[in-house]
Amino acid sequence: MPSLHPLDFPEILSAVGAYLLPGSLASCVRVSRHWHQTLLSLVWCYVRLEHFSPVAPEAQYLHKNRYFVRSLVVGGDVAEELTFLRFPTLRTLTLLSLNSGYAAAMVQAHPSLVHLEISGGRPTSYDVATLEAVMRLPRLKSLSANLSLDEATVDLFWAVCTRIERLRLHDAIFRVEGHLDSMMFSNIRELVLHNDSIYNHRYPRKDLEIMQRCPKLETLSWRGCWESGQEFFHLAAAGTWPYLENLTMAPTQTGDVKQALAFQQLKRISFLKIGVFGPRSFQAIRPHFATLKTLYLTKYGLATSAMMQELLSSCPVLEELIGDSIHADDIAHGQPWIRTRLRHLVLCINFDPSTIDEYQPLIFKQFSRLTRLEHLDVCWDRVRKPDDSDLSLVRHSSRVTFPPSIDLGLGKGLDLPLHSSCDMFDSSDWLRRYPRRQRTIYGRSK
Amino acid sequence: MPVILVSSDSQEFKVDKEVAERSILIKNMLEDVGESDSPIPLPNVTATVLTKVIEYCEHHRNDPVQVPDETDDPRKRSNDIEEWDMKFMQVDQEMLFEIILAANYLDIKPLLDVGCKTVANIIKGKTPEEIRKAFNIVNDFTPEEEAQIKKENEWAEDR
Repeated sequence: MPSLHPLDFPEILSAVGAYLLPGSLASCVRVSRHWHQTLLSLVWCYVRLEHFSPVAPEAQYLHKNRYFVRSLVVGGDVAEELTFLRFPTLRTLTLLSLNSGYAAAMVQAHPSLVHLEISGGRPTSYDVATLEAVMRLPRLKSLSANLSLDEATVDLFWAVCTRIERLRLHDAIFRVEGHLDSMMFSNIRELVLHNDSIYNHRYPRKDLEIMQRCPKLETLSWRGCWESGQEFFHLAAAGTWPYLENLTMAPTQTGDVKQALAFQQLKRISFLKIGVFGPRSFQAIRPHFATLKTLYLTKYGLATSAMMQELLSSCPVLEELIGDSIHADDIAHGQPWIRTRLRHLVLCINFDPSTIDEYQPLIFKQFSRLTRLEHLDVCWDRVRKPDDSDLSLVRHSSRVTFPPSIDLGLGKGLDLPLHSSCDMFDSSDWLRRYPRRQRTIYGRSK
Repeated sequence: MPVILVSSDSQEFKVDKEVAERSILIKNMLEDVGESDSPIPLPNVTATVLTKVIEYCEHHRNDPVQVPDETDDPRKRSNDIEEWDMKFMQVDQEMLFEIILAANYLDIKPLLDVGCKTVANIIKGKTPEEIRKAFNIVNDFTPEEEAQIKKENEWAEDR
């Protein structure tokens, strides 16, 4: 027996604590003085104060442990005594639907803030005091808000943009343009612009203007951009965002060719979630297989089965692949899939019924390489069938947990949505029908 | 190119350089020493533990190097342990902690993470008394002290 137990080392106990949820941590701090001293900070790290939440700490204990609180969520109608509390090391503050006066006071009182989120149902007109307070935060790196900006506040907002690294705007309204001139937002690395509200179309859209001023942009998520999509890809093809590597875009009118030209300008691609995807785009992302982590294609794309097979056998760090469909013979005869970090795979597998027996073992062999797979979806619903009147049959899927006898590493926590209601699902039926045989095959292939 | 590692009880282990370099400590040592064949002493690790550590590094030799995750939410998942790793960690508690200490000393972050996740999974859902029993820990609180701590932190219990 070692004289000093490993859990006596604070760094080891803290490392374990990082994997525990608050419920377990609340038990842990009662175990002994050492555990209390080491883990108390983790209990108080993240606090939620909302009127409707029964799990808010008492004000006196909040005050006592105020130095531990790093992340705070404050909802509306919070007990007044709690609103006077101050947290000297607070890094993240989320204010939900609060009146602007309170927002300004909270922001002013916490100069340690790095991340600020002010959200609510509708865009709120920030008063000058709040934006000035935001401007004065020395360490602010990210701002997330739904804003309505007018003459008094828009220039303050642009000034904030020159300092931060991450900006998230949800249904922002710009009543006036303000003085953008030759302003550049050179610190912005991540931009999330979501325009979901249909009421805002009468206000000028500033999305592209903002994006163009972010030369160091690495991550972009853009929604509600149908009309400006083409211009975006035009600008991208001109090399406006050389550092862009993560792109999430709702489908635009841009074609495959224009999109490919844009991809060619990128130095690196990690995360791609887009509407259109065809052979040219595929060609353009081939050089980036080594860094590709997530590829999410909707069913409007032109991705072929051969592409899917190539992706599965060529991308070493791929974690999520949401594609359309793949043919069984492409899998069976294709290159071996890489023993990847793939966690999430959505692909419909098309079978020719006559070849099931021949291809099954080969397909399972491929699957067996995905040792980290957590979510597998072979649902027919993903296949484009525009002329099929029986489409109504494929609407409802029921979740079936896979029997644990399957030894693909799938038994643990694998979601396998299957259609149980329709007979024509040969593609997923084989997974149900051949578990026993599969185990034998897996054993034989070793 | 093989590398020779020597455990605290003087047993020698020949491993490929690529495997040995999963340990950042060893990697740095090799860089400092240069092209030398001399064995590397590991005075803090016994042979039985070193065998397990080498087994882990062999199995994971082709894993891409982990990039530290800079997300602000420190609460990580502990339910995503690979099946092989789970079987690998099915050892008695003494060995489990020896592996954790060795992973900490040798600076093998993925192994340290798996070890900590395993311990976290033991702790989950247990009452304080059950935790003490599991790890042979002495309760050095008075009943009043413990009751006070429970009261202060009760709000976190349901989360």
